[in-house]
Amino acid sequence: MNNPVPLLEMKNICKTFPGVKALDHVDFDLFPGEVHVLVGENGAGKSTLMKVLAGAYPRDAGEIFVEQKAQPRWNPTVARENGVAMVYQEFTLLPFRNVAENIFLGREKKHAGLFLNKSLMHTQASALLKSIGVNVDTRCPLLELGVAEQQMVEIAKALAMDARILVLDEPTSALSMREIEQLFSTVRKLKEKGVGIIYISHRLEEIKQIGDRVTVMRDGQLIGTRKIDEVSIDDVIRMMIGREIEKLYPRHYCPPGEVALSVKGLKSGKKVHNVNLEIRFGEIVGLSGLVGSGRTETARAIFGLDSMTADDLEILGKKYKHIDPSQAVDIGLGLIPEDRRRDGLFPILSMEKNLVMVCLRKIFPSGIMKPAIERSTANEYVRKFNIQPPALDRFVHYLSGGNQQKVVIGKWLAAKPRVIIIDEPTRGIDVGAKSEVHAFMDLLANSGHAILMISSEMPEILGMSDRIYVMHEGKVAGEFPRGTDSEEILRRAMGVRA
Amino acid sequence: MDQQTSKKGEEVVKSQSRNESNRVWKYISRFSRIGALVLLGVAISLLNPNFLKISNIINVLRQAAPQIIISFGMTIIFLTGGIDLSLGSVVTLTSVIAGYFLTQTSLPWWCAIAGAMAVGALSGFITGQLIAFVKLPPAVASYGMLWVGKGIAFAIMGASPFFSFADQFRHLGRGYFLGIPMPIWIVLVIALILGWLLKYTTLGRSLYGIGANPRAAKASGIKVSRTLVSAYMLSGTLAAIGGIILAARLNAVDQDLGASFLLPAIASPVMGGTSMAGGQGGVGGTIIGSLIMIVVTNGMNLLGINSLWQQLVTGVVVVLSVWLDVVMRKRN
Repeated sequence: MNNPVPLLEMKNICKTFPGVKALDHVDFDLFPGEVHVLVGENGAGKSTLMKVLAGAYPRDAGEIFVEQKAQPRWNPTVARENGVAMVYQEFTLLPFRNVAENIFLGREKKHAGLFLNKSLMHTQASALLKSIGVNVDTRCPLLELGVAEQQMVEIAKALAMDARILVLDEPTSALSMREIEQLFSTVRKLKEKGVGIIYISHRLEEIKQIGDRVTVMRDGQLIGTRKIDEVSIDDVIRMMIGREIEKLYPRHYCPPGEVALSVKGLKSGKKVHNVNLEIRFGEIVGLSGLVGSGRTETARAIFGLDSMTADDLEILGKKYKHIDPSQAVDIGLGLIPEDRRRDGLFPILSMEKNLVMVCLRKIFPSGIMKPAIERSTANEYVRKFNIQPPALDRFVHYLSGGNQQKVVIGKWLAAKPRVIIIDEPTRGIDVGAKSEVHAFMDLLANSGHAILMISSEMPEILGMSDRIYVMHEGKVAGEFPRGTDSEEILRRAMGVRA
Repeated sequence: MDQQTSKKGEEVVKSQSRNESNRVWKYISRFSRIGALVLLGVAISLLNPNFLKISNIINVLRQAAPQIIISFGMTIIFLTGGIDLSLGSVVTLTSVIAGYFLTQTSLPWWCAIAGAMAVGALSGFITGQLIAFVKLPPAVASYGMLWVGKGIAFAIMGASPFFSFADQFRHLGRGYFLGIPMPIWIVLVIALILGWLLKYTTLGRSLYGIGANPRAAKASGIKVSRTLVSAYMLSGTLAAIGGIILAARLNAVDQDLGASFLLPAIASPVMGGTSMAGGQGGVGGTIIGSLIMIVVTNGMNLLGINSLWQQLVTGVVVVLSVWLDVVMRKRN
């Protein structure tokens, strides 16, 4: 480093969420004109660290220095004043406003503090864009720009706020090869200007292309910071995984039975291109892959929530062209969704009503409900899952995350599906609830259900699955037996060919 | 381990006590509406003792019947998280249809009722299709239906209103059974049926589910489109029943009959605790909400308040009662 004064130092940062130590004494620093790559598996603590940096989460312990000045008060405003800016995967720009309006949103240049000074905004905006090597018309509405250009506008917006510490979160995930090149040349321009860049990415090949240093995180801890030319990609992968898979997972293998669900040539939307998979009774099949690889979309397509086409779809011995969700329920297919609040829960309805929502037609085929049966059905699942507190009349809105998850699983099992797709079964729930959910999945599989488990947590995939499919960019990129090395799976998920 | 159990125990106790206070607030907020109605009645009767006379009360209820029934329809739509702006115009259309059957054809009188209800259901069916399958926002779809219904009513009626209907038909609006006016009986029967439908059928439960979280409803295998269409058909039919009673009581129909029912039909369920956002409420509250509105109007008539001021007061009452409801909900 030419400049020995670090732009940013974070020392001994700790952050605990209920039940989870999200950051455990993490150190991180950044020099001006440097690209510092931050990698780690999903849930390793990268985004938590960045949220602490942005001031969005208060830290429990640790210190933050900007240019060696301690910052005892750190919140979103102070962070912004010190030049911290984030460019997220989802853009925060207004699609119908033009480039200049977006760049100066909320800080518009004005005549006499009253009227918009449009010409000044356009000149400044285009100067700013030129300085990072981007050539777009500042009068163009955002939605007419490509994804990469939108990203550049987002970066320009950050620069207009005098950003010196720029966080790029998965900037290339939505870009084509050519657009990535464009982004990299912008990043190089930013380095020349002395901006420090924290670069989060799942694409390990990029690290070598653009990074100066790399920091690996795992389970909320700092594993190590290395100069880029002193490590290989294999080293980085090893640092990311490098753990014994805990014996937490209570999977008791039993030999699988008939094929319960098989799909060939599944296509849906922009994210599922060609998926082939099958699940057998008595089996837990893991579906692994990076965020955005199309796992959730695959599940939604099979279940009929999104429109899809398939060369062949066979469920419980019958062929279908496609099904809709209510048909899925009737034939014995269940999808326990990833996003519980959005797709699973009825927050303003009671626990009892939530628990019987899926099985309504099954337990009351005449359409007339019997309160006693409703109550006993709900009670059965409250007991089975040990939902706390066991108050049937309570709005599920007031339950904890783990108990909400149990309600969602319970309401599905009440409909007695034989094939169950479960998306991120333990996301956001505490360790205790996690092992309860895992034990239950084991029980279900061994009592003859077929389970497809989508998970971003490698230990969960390795610990619970009898067989593992790995998705990469909308396709099943590989199939592995139980006991496969996590490195192997991660490579395939990142598109590295065997 | 022990510590954990005791902690869990504590949590249960805490949540129970929270549940207790929740329940108390629930009662208070439910009571608050009945309480408001009673207070209103007492206040008006202090100013004018005629208000509490049985004859006045029965008269008020009879007049209130169509509005209550139309508000039931809106309640059902609110439960799904939608709105049906066409209800007023459906009232006009269906009463005109009934009038046409009664005066321009020689069909028996009950054909008028069947025809009006069928047209009400059909208009709800179309609105429902537009919402469930064409995916128009409910306000837009039903606003379109508002004008279509109005237009058809005009076309059927031409310049001359229909009047002077068969006695059996008029009985529905003016007759008595066991000393109580027919419209009141009709309201009671419909309220019981709807109350049962919402509470004890899977259709009713699906309505709440769709209103509470449409995405989750779809993902839970509820037949969302079909349920929505049923809801709009039901509300259209209820509007038709309202129109029939109205026509029967007035013994005449004209082109402006229904328009004035739309806003009270929106206000009554909300005042009765049905959330416009969907998933919460029921017909019981709507009766109370409607009665509050009607008592205010009737009271002001009895007190001889200028009709200009009446509108202002109605507006204030609506806003106040909803505000009260919001405050209560927040406390919950």
